[in-house]
Amino acid sequence: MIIWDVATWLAIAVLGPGALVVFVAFLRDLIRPASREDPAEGGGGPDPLSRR
Amino acid sequence: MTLHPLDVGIVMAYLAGMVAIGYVVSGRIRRFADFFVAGRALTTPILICTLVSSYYGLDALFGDAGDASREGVVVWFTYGRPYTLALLVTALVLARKFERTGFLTISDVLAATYGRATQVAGAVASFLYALPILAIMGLAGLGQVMFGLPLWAGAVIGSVISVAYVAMGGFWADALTDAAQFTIMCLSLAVALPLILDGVGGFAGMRQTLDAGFFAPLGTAPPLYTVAYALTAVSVLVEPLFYQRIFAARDRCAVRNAFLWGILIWAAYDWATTTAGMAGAALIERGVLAADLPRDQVLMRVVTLYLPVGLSGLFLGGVLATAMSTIDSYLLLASGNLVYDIYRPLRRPDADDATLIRYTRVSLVISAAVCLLIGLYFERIKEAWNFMATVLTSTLLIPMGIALLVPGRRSPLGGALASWGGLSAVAVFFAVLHVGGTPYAELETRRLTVAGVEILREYALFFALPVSGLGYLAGAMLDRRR
Repeated sequence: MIIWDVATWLAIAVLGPGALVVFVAFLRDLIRPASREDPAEGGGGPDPLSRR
Repeated sequence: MTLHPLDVGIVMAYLAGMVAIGYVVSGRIRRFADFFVAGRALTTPILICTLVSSYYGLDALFGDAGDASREGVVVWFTYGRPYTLALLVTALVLARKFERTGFLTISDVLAATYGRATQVAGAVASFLYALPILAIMGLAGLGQVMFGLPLWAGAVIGSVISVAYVAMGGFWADALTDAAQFTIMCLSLAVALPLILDGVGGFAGMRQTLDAGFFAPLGTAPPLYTVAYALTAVSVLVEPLFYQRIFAARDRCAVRNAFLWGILIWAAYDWATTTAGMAGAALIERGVLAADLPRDQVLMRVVTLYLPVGLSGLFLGGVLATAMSTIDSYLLLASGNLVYDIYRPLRRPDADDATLIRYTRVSLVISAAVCLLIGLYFERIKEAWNFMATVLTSTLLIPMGIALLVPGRRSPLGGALASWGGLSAVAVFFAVLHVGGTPYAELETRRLTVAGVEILREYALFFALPVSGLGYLAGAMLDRRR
């Protein structure tokens, strides 16, 4: 049963801290006005979760 | 259930906040592309939020937990992971094909490839699929549980609020509210799950109570039924919600990465609902929960059993966020289908952006009203999901698959016959099962026996996809002769 329990704690880690990390990254984008402009119009900053 | 006034205040503030976001971003709306795909400016974090929260509604939360309470881990392994494969294909293969194409909807792709007849068929299927009937039904139930509202009142209030902020701010409002809703829906499950697991004694405790079949990854249902359910995962490849977000992404890397992160979060969310559903099954076996408890209510009963006051309120907030993030996104999609994909090409090809935005706002109200009217038809969440996913897949999979993956010249007549043929086949299949079939209580479906062969309602795709494929071949042959 250990594997099932570990899987459950991994899920909790993704849904708790993981979701918070995504939300913080979203807020970083939000407070950086240039990053939310249309790139076609010359805007656009680095995308914190985008690894090219 | 009685809520503390503080909980009620938090819910009210949350709803007011959603409307305020719609009002604030309404100033950004100038073109129809601003309204429908947020000016194609979304970055990875907001795409993750809107992908996860919009696609996973109450069917994923209560429906999957209910199924897990009856069938066990098969829900995660066999029903769920084919979706992961389809999502990987979407992330790594499909999403990269649309960078800077200028498309706004999936029907745009069909129009560019096959012409107007296929475009309209795709829009009709997408509209039927996108109507957020399940979420509105769930919201109505939530209003009843939380505030003691009549079902119709909860549905109307939830719909009005969703329509209000989406009508003002379009996809910008949808995506920004999704970010908050995503966080609440994930956190509420993350907080609830340890308490539930502790309450039932972990998996070791469940193992002592539940039959070994609950822990069989392939399950114990008839193989063809299991295959039929796993096959609904191909609907991901033609999911209009995903295409809208692909078109709204700033670039293909942003959307690819958002899908990859999303796949991880969806898998975790599935595991959480599966575990909670199995905990519910264990509690039913132990006599803690009623044996005749409707499966779609199992998760809620488990939560109210183990979560203290305050955390129950947080969980209900998560349920509310789960429902509303789905309602707003799909209402916007359905409205876009009506106006941009059906009304515009058929009646007003020259409509300007202001007209499209105005009509889409009106169409939001119409779509919500249609949902409210037919919301009580389906008895069980998975049943309705199966129907809608089948309609979408049967109509769009063949023409979209050929448009995106098969090189060479495409047949306009083939596209039309494939899409309309698939759509008609599903309608006929479900009508025949509805009229001639009999209830199959064990799997909560309907079945029809023809010449000794048992046909379940879930097998619709086995009939409709070949009809769609043959339609394309017939159309292609006729086109070639011409």
